[in-house]
Amino acid sequence: MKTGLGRVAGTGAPRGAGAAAVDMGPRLLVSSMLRYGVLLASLVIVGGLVFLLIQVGPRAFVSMPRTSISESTDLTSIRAVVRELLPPEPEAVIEAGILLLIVTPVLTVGATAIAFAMERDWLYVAITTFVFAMLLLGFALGRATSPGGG
Amino acid sequence: MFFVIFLVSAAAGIAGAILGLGGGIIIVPALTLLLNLPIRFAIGASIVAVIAGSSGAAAAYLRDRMTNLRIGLALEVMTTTGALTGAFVAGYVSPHWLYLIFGLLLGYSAVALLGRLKLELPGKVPYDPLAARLRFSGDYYDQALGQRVDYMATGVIPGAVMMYLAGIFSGLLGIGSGLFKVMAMDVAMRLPMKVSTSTSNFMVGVTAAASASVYFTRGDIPAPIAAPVALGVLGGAWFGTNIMGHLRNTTIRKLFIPVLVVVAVSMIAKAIRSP
Repeated sequence: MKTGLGRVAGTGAPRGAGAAAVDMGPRLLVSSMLRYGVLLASLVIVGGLVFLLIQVGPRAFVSMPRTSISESTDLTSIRAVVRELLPPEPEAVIEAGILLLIVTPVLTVGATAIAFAMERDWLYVAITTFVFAMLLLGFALGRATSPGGG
Repeated sequence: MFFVIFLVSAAAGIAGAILGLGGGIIIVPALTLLLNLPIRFAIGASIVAVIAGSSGAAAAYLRDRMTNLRIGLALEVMTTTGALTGAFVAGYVSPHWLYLIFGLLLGYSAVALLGRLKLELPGKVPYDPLAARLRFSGDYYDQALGQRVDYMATGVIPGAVMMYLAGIFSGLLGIGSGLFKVMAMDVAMRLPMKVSTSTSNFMVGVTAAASASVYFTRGDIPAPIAAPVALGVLGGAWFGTNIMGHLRNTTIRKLFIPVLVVVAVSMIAKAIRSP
């Protein structure tokens, strides 16, 4: 069923002819944000692996987690990852992909609040904003409480 | 090794997409027991797996109208609040009692699920004014049944309480909230099983993203493990979402019960063994 994006849904009847349009805007927005976020993240990760293959060769994959497993990564902040990207290190490229993956759902929730606002669905604007705020609080607490963080 | 992790993750991605779980239940034991990785890297890997699997699966389920965005977001209020509560009380509650409580809760859910094993669709459910106020209703096209299914939630309060508990649990122990989310939606709110699992799929990724920063800043997510996990789970989730639509709700329930029993038993065993 083809219906335009935007404010088709409104708060109208949830049943009948209009049923297909309920939440159409926010739903498609979340769907495509997740899809493209994940796609971008996995392309970056694959890019990092190809880079590793070029730099180290196939043996990097045979021994891969074993060799580096004894220690945790020191790329623990966005700043550290970005710093290692210039000039690029394979591991930093992969970690950048992982970071993209982590922020994808968070940004999606934030964008959904805006999509509900465009449909003038204030109850769900409040609900989604609350969830977004809790996620940001989680990030803040995570940075504050983790030993090596900050 | 790289390819073993990839394959394990792909299996977790398929199971997670069909059952609405993050896949941590599969990833953590597989990486620690099979591959002898340290537990902190296994948990870090499972966080990556949950986010990848959830985002990959939810993108497809939202497009197919199976995930109910409203129900997911509104219940996410309870789980995120629970997760932060869990983080606060972490120092005061002994995990011993938690394992016991949640083991018993899961055991009860398994029994409740057994009673609903033959139920393909919930049919008419008792009217819940709160569900109407929050517009917890929707419809999807069921490929296995070949018909459009209309549904409406009931029991919002008990469902919300279970979600809050699920949040506390994942905030404290970082695992297993997908199981509770599906149970809350299936047993308490009486949504169609596919709506429960696919909505849970969306929710677990959001909850996991909140705690991911802790693990990332601690350095628990090293690239050599995270790369095969993320790619494997994404591939598996893509495959799983293509299967799930064609399965019957009753089949998904049948797949769910053994998982529930295994986790319930291992939690109760943990509670008994730990001092």
